[in-house]
Amino acid sequence: MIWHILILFAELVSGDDQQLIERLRKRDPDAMSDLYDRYSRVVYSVILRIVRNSAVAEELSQEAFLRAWNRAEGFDSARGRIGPWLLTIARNRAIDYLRSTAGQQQATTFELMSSERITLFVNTEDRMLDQEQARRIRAAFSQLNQNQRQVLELAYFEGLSQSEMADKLGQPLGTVKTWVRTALTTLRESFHVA
Amino acid sequence: MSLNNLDPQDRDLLYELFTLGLLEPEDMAEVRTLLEAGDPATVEGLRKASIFTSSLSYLAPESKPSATVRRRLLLSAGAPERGVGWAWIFGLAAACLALLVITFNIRQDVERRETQISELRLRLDSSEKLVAQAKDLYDLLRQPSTLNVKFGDNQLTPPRGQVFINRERGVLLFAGNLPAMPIGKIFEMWFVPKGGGAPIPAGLFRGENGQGIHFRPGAVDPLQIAAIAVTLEPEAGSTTPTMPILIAAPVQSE
Repeated sequence: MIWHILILFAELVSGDDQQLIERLRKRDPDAMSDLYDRYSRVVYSVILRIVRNSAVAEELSQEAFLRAWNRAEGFDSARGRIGPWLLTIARNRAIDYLRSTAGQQQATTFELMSSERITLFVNTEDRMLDQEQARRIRAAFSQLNQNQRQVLELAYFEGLSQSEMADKLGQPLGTVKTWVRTALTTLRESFHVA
Repeated sequence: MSLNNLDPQDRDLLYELFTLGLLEPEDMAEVRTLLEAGDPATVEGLRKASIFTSSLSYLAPESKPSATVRRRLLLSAGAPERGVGWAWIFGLAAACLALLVITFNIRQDVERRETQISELRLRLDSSEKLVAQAKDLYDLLRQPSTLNVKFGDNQLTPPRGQVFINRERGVLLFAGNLPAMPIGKIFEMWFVPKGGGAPIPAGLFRGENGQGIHFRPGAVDPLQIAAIAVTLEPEAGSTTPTMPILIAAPVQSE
């Protein structure tokens, strides 16, 4: 919990995402330090949760930050939010790693690449601080039942498809789809309610 | 599947499933095609879904990467590392120096204030003594038993003034038109006893602008005193008068 507070504090003292993106686009070397200091813990946490290996998680965290650093020029500093983009990159790198070790890399890399397009992280009206999002999403997640929580975790942190989840859980595909649908709808409502 | 046939909630769900990689292959391909074509509704829907699903990252247990990740990353990016290195020694030295200066200044300030307090305490003591003395004099003046003797009224060259004599408290002299005090001289008050004995010294006092006030505390018997006199004497005072009498106030007690 404490590092979420630190992230919030870092955001408050070092300016918002827009300033950071502008500096990243100008290849300001200090911006990379700031980006890392602001997001390294949450990025590392999500990757570690997925790959469950600290050495691999550190390697993939570094890759995620470098990817953001090298692609930041495409960001519109006036309208972008770098946090969600960076987290999407981090999650994709980790899922990609999991799939590559399972021999599924070629089939899935393109799908993951689509989800981290920069265009999906600009023009957002959402100005909430990530800390507030985190608090809300955790509160809403705790309200889900066991099955709904399980399918969301399998999808987000293990990258399983709904069919793979059905096989893993020994449940009909329709049941799993219902759990996923209900879980996402419940979380979305709490996420978008101000 | 056709996106046009979906209600808004189902569309949101579809975009979220896409960002999570949960769509069936044919649905995934359809959304991807629309995205690559820049379809505004698809881009906007996926934008909202991406922000939403990325927030699921915060469900991960909190962990912290080792410091080497930061170092390696900044080296890879060509960014300067903001590690502390040896700078902390200089920082610590600067902090110690600042602390020393602050301590020294505080100590000096405390000493200065202690001196001020001592001075104020002395002034307070002095004021308290003056107040006590004034109270004594006031008591002397207001008591009915105090004898009041005026002097100099009939003299061509005054001093003039009054003497108040109280048996228990002492003698208070107010004198005006006193001559200037020569350097090395001082006024001395005397009790001139009845029966022709030698005058008894009753204290020294200074005059200022021709005015002089002197209080000789302690019991005194007015019946034994013929007069109160004042002379100018050497600064150390005299045991017997050595100079002409400036004031002579006869005491006529009952």
